Amino acid sequence: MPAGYIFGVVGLFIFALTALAATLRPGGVRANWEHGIGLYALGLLVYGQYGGLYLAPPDTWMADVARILYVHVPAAWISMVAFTWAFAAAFGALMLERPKSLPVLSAATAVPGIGLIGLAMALTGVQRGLAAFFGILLILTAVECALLWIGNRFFNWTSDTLDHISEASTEVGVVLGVLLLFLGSVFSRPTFNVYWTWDPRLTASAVMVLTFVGVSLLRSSVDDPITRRTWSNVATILAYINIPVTYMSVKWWRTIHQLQSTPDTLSSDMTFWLRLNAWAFLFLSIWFVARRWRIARARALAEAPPELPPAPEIP
Amino acid sequence: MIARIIKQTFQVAYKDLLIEWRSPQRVSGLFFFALVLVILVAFTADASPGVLKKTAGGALWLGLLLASARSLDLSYAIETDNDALSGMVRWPVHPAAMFYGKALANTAVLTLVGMALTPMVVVMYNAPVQGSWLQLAAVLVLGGAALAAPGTFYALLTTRARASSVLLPLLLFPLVVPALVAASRATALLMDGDAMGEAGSWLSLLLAFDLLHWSLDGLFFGLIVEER
Repeated sequence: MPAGYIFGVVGLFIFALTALAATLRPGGVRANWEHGIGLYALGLLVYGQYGGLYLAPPDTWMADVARILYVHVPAAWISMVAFTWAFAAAFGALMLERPKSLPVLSAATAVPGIGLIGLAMALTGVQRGLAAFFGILLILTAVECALLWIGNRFFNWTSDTLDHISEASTEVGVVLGVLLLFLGSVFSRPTFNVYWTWDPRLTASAVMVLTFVGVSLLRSSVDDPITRRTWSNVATILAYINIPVTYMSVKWWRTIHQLQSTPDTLSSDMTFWLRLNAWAFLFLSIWFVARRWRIARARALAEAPPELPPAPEIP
Repeated sequence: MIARIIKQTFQVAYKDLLIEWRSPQRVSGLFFFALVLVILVAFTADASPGVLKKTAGGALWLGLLLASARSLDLSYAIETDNDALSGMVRWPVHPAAMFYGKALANTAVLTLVGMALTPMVVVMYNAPVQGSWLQLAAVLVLGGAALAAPGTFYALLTTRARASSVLLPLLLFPLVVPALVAASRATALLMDGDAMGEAGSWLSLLLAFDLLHWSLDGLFFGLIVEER
């Protein structure tokens, strides 16, 4: 196992432990459990950035300029991850409005999903890729539906819980996306000699960030909580599904971005620091999402109409 | 059930087109709005003929896109005026029929405006169509449909939201970037003769975008109409 993963496993362990301890605590959640993972993320970030700036070897062609990749690449990865959370949570919020359909949908997607994976084993080439892709998609849907059912049944998750997570993730994704675009243009000045190029990945990222800014604004401009929930979740799903189409279209349009680096083309020292920083960004964004989720929940509570006075006793 | 939805779809489309027919100043207003934009693009671009020719496809679609935002707003203005939409929901018209009917009507309007606008662009930008006219017509229909489907969807969201006139473009324009790229590239290629036969692949991208949004948006439309 590559050394970078140890830090991830430790972080996930802290996350699972604190979240579980907070959930199972008798009398409900009182401590802000997310500070554990937040502190860990901050420590990892400081160490990772120090490593990226001083300890990692300089790039063969771009020398020290390439050190920006220890912030740029994690920001790109984790902004996509955050948008994926927003999408999954939006889907979940829509599904939890009809919790009875969850076990049915879970089974109905698991069976063909497993079938398609089995089919992928027998096929080759493009067909194999397609079968595997849709198989994995169906199985992920089945897993999410099962998790939602458990959450709804045993942990009191409602549509609102997931809606607040979607709201939080969208905003964290937008922040990371803006960071990504800004750092990208700082990076592109010394390497491509321009601040901005109309390259597919740049363009698609910019469009992606703008799409989710739109979703965020839609959320803030609808007053009725239930309408807002449904509308912004539907808009999140559409915005997310549109990302690959946007990417394809601008890819055909023009292309100059450097080819994606793989662990084979990078020195193992560079991969280590890159992974470390990616973990730091991931845990940091979990912390941000959890903080933002609390704000969203508090706002929803403040917005809720006051409780009705008890009914007068009938003599 | 399916037959009823299809019948209702055409009824809704007929209703919308009839309203457009009875107040033709709306479609003509849309056309002149797009025309003004096309002229303005020519003013802002370098006026040398080679450059103008190259921007013709983009200008046509930019004009149509901005005009579509206005037309989509109007297409719901007729529904909210007398709360006609609630009436339609309670009639009951199936939400899918409502979506496809309105989207069809919007597609027809946009395609019509696009077809009227193309000759103007050809003349004013000195960009004679050297490729196949049939393919250009296909680009106009598919491009109109690509703007109309997400547009019909988001226009309903934004009519009920605050600051809707800002919100609709903000939600819609980034989403239709693929359609805009494909349609304007295909148009520019067809005006330039399409020597490499590339217009076909842009058309298929446009078709894929249409398929995605005409199916998904129709599916989700029920959710957003219900919540009213």
